[in-house]
Amino acid sequence: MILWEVKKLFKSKIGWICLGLFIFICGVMFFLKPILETENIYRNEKYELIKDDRSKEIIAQEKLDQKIHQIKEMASYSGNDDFSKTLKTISQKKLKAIENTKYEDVSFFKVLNHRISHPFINSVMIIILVLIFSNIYTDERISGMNDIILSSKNKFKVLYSKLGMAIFLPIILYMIYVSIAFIITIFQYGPPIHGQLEALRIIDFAGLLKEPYTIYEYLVLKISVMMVLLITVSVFSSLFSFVTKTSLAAISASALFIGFGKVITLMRFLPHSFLTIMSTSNYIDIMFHMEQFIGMYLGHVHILGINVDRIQMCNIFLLCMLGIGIAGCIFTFKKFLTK
Amino acid sequence: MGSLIKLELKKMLFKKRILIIWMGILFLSFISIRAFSMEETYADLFSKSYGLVPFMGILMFMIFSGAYTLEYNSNMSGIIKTTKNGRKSIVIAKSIASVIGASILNLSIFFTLCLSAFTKFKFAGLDIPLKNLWYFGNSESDITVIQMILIMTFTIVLGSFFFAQIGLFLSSISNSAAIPFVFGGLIMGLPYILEGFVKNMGLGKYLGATPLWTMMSCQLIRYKIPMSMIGIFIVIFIGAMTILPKLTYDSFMKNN
Amino acid sequence: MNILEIKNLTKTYGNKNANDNITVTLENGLYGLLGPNGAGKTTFMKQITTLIEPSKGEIIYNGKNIKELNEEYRAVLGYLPQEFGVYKNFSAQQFLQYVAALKGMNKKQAKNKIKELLELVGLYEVRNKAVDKFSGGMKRRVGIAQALLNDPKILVLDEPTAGLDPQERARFRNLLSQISKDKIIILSTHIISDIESIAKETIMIKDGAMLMKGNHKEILSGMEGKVYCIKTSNENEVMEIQNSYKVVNIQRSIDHVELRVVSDKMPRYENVEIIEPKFEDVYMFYFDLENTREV
Repeated sequence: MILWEVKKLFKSKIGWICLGLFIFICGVMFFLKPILETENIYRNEKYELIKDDRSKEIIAQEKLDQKIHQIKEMASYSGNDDFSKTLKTISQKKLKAIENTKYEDVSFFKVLNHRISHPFINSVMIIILVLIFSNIYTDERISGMNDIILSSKNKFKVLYSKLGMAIFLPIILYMIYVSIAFIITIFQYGPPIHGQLEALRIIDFAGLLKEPYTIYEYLVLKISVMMVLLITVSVFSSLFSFVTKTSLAAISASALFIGFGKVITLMRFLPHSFLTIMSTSNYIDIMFHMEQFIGMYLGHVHILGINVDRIQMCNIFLLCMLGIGIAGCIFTFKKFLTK
Repeated sequence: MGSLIKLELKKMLFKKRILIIWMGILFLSFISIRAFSMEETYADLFSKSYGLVPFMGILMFMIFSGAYTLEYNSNMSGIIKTTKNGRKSIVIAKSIASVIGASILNLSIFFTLCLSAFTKFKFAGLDIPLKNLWYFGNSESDITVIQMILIMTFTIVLGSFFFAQIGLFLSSISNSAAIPFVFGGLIMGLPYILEGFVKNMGLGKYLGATPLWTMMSCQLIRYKIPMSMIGIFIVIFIGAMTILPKLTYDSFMKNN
Repeated sequence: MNILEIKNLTKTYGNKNANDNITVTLENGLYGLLGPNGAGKTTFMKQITTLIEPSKGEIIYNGKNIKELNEEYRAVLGYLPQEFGVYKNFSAQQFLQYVAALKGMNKKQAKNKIKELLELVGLYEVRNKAVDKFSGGMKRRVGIAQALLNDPKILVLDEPTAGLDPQERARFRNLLSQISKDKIIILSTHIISDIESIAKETIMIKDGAMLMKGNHKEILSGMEGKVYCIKTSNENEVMEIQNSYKVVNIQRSIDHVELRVVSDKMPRYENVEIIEPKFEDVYMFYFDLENTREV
């Protein structure tokens, strides 16, 4: 059944538009590049380009030294609040894990890390999924196929295959994207070497990294969060497609769903702990500032008298949302569409 | 023509989902302004007015997207095109109704923000120059808050004009409302998404030529956008206003 | 008197002729347009309603080309497409007000006409209810009312009775009879009984071309001696007849089966008699069951 859904997708105009968009982001990715560890380029207030002309090795070593120095400072900080204490412990752990303080070429991973979660790529990926899944059932309604499906023996099989597609297609699509990024980056920046080294070598907020992750671990973590985000958006778009009558209603509901978390952060009358969680687990901020959340330590929140790690809480929240989306779809199949 | 515009406007705006979302956004606009010091709050007003742009976009493209796709899907386009006013007049009526509708929506959101900010200080301090507000930190602009509000009122209507033509054109070439909604939203929101990226490339001033920044003209002041960029936008605006309605008419006539 | 002259009308899509050289003159009265699916009826009507332009040929209304008449022509045109949706947030009255605005009617004129038409189609009592909540028949009636708003001189109705129950169809036929005196009404349908009793003339279209045009009598006279009744009690023979002839109807009795057959030649069976042709026989005679094509 799921293959039929895929076939239907490629028979529709939207399927081809999405394919076009996907090819477009794969092309755009070719030009996406962060400032490498071996470079020191920035713009001043007048947007004039300032470039460090020293040798690559010197710049890279200086940057690494700065990061290590920052962690060392945090490890020796004598603040008494919970945040400082935890940060101190984390920093000590990270310092212990650093085996080599000499710069090694991590350009491949630096670029790959940038490309797999660039805000523009994330936005287009979300648009692709919203376009596909907010039409997944409304198309059946418009063509009048919904009654045929719902009166067939395999009605649940059809409905679950739509849900299955909402779960698996984002994974497949994103994995294809990551694979293409992997190959293109090899061609542009050489082979993937030194992935076993510390993740702090490729990220800018090294001081706040929660664990002494290796580059591999960090990338896996990032890809996992990205997948949860994409699957959640697909599942909710499908849910809106199941419960609304027009594609415009489904698509605008999906857009509002994505933006709703960010909106909540503006409602200052809500409990502080809730706002704190939402400020890091809303889909807009995750899409646009993923670097600031993945694997970071951003303090604790007090919920019902318990002290919980903020990022951990956000991860739980994201997984819960995914669960709610899937449960919502199943509930809709059983109690709404087929009744 | 008057009653045609009125009925088109009713068709676009008076839908349950539009009204609910609109009210929700107005509520959000009101609560999002907080009572700090006068300068802080007024800076917050401009910051939030740009921050709420995605919601303006969602609302606007919800009304534009269905303008033609609704006629195609319901086969009403056949009836419409066989009537006396069902060709050029209806395209003009839809265009005017969309501009009015979008202006009402956008201005209502902007004015709610203003009202929320100004009532906190009983409408005092409207003559504070923008250079005193953090949001316009480096602009050194002597334009006052009230002057900026008036300029923005004008540019929001101008932006509504522009986006209405884009939305209507996209709606006229598509059978599914999803396409104009997403791609219209993307055209509008691209400067929003790519702001950091474009600035890093040193091309920040070109954002001034985008319809979004012209609509939210506080951005032009904030980043001291040169007049040349505004000139480029005027050329784009005139071009779009000339070409898009014609293209919309052609694709409406071609769709059978 | 209104005169619509259709001269050598041809519409080509790629290398297919959806309409092929149709020439016909229409005057006041109701014309039934008969043909199987894909015969080119809708293309023909869309050209009359200016929705599509002919590839060749022209349509002349009262001596002037409709292309040149443009708005002037559309001002006397009423059209009801095969299917049309409604605006969810509009009541019947608002929907008609909208179409009246499209037709360029002023408010006062529109108000009176809407009231009159809503009464005519029996929807005045429910005029303030959302059209979306109407039954199929009621929506169809709203459709008819909108087509009549501008008091059209040319009224084009594309399968207007599809999906209506027998009562609604009868009501609709009577309505058309009432209004057909001073206007040209072109009505396409598959339901022969819809036009059998009320059409001034029937135009039959096959493969995009006009097969014949004539009044009820003229068309039926061409069928004289081509309709047969075969009686048999042999089931194998029934199968054989069905495979060899166009069978309009099969009626089973206790001891025999009666088959109504249309054919150029008299079937060679024992109990065969020539019977009076009906309009339904004409359709079966000229159009094959699978005579459908993409246009």
